[in-house]
Amino acid sequence: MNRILVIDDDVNVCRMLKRILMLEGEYEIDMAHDGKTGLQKFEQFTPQIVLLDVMMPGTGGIQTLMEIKRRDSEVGVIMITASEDEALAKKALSLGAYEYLVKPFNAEYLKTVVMVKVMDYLD
Amino acid sequence: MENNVRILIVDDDSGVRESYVDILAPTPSLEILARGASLFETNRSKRQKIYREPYDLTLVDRGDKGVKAVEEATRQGNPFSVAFIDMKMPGMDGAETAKRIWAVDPRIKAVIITAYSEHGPDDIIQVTGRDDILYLRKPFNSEEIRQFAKALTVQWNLERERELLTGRLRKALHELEELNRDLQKKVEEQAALLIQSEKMASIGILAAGVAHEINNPISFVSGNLSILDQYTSRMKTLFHKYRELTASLTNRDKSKLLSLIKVIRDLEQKTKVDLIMEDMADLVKESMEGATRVANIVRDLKTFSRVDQFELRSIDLNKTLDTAIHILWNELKYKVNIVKEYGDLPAVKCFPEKLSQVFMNILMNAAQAIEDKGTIKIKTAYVQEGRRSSDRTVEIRISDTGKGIPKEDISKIFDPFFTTKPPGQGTGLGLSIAYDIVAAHGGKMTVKSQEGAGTVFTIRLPLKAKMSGSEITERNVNS
Repeated sequence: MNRILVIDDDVNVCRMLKRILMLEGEYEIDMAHDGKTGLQKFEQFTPQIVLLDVMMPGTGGIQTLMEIKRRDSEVGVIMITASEDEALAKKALSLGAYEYLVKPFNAEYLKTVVMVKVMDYLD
Repeated sequence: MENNVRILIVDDDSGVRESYVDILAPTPSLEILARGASLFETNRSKRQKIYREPYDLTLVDRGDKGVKAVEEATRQGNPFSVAFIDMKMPGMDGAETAKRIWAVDPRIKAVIITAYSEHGPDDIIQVTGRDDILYLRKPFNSEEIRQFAKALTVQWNLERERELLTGRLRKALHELEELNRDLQKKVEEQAALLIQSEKMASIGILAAGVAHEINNPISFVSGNLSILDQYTSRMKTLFHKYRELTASLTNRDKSKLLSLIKVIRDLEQKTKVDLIMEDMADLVKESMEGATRVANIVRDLKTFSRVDQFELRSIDLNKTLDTAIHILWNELKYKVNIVKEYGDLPAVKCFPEKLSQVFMNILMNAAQAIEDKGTIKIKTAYVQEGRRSSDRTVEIRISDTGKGIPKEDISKIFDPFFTTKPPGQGTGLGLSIAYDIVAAHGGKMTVKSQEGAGTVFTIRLPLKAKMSGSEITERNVNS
């Protein structure tokens, strides 16, 4: 089963993302609420996909992305961002992020992006 | 301005009038003679000086004619500076003439010429009503007349000059006052504009923060609702199958029942009904939390937006501080660790919206002073230093571990328009307005700072604000 790690400082956002993914697909999902815990979980859980919030207290999204990419350049990191941080999200793309989603986002789009990335992974 | 050398002579004696002419306005021939004489004189300069004073004489033989001459001169704007008036004249006497002349032109220097046996100065002053009248005894000598004429014309001209200068000065002063008023008005207009832009700047920060704060709950609530929509449609499909099953129970066709049950079981698997059933309550609960979060933000915003309504209320300042922190949370949460050391506070009668503006301003500055990560400590305490009610105060201390304020700036930070921010990013009014608000409550705000270590703002507020709402409104213009 594909593993997805959701990292967002807002627990409720994490849980909603988990719901969206669980409803359609067969995934194993874990959550973390800050960059540091996220990185620990990344190492233990070894997900194929990470949903990563850009603005987080402590280790922020961009730094976490770089750490993740340093550990595994193949992993698909999808950034989650508020509209005013879009520039930051675009920067994330240049750092190796797979895609970014702007909050409040479209659930269907999220599902599609995840599915496409999973299929990429399976190829 | 030309020197006024017009002199009026009022004397009924034609011989006397001629002597005045000889003394004060010698004819050119006399002057030529005098010049010729001067060639042989040793004391040349003295004589020349005397003959150089060309007085413009008007001679009349009666008092009423004198008054008429003055009237005429005044009308033409060519006034007399001095009048020599004989006291004893047929018809109007000298004192009366002087009185009437002064009625027409009070500036004229009047000299009464009188014999020893006649009136004393007191009688004359009595008639003229002025004690600045001059007085010469007959028979006069020419030097006396010359000296009087010179001294009085000089005095008259000096006085006129002084009047002119005073007038000009008054006009200049008036213009200056007008200019000052205009300037004051412009300054006030500019200040109002700046206060407005400070307000807009804080609204901008607020709006960005609010947008960010609302974005998260909105995004998960709307996400949850779209999931709930799918939950519902899946449950509906299942529900129809259950209905079908219950309807089929009566027709006792076992094989049909079994296949229907199989369909239902597959559908239950496919729709993940267990997951849905398990999650439904959580989804609703979390969404309601989200709605509450939005509602709280809106409530905080309302508190802030009520700044133009002034109302004294008794409140717990710890709560006001919490509201301020909450509104600014988006600016604070990523780099600031907030440490609250709230003491038990009695209710403070104040303008809560105004004070939350003060707290927000100090917190905002503290957050901006912290470059990477730091701590803001908020300590509140009830302080009673004496027995009077005015000795009971609440102290709020907000300290940060930011970069601190340079020594040379610390005395200026409450000054209006003082800012260290780049142009366009700060009006320099925030702290000045905050200071005024605290002062308007009868409180005090002080600051201590050490460069590189941090800044401490201390606010002391009496339990009861000493001013009325209208006063606080006036003091803070439109802030």
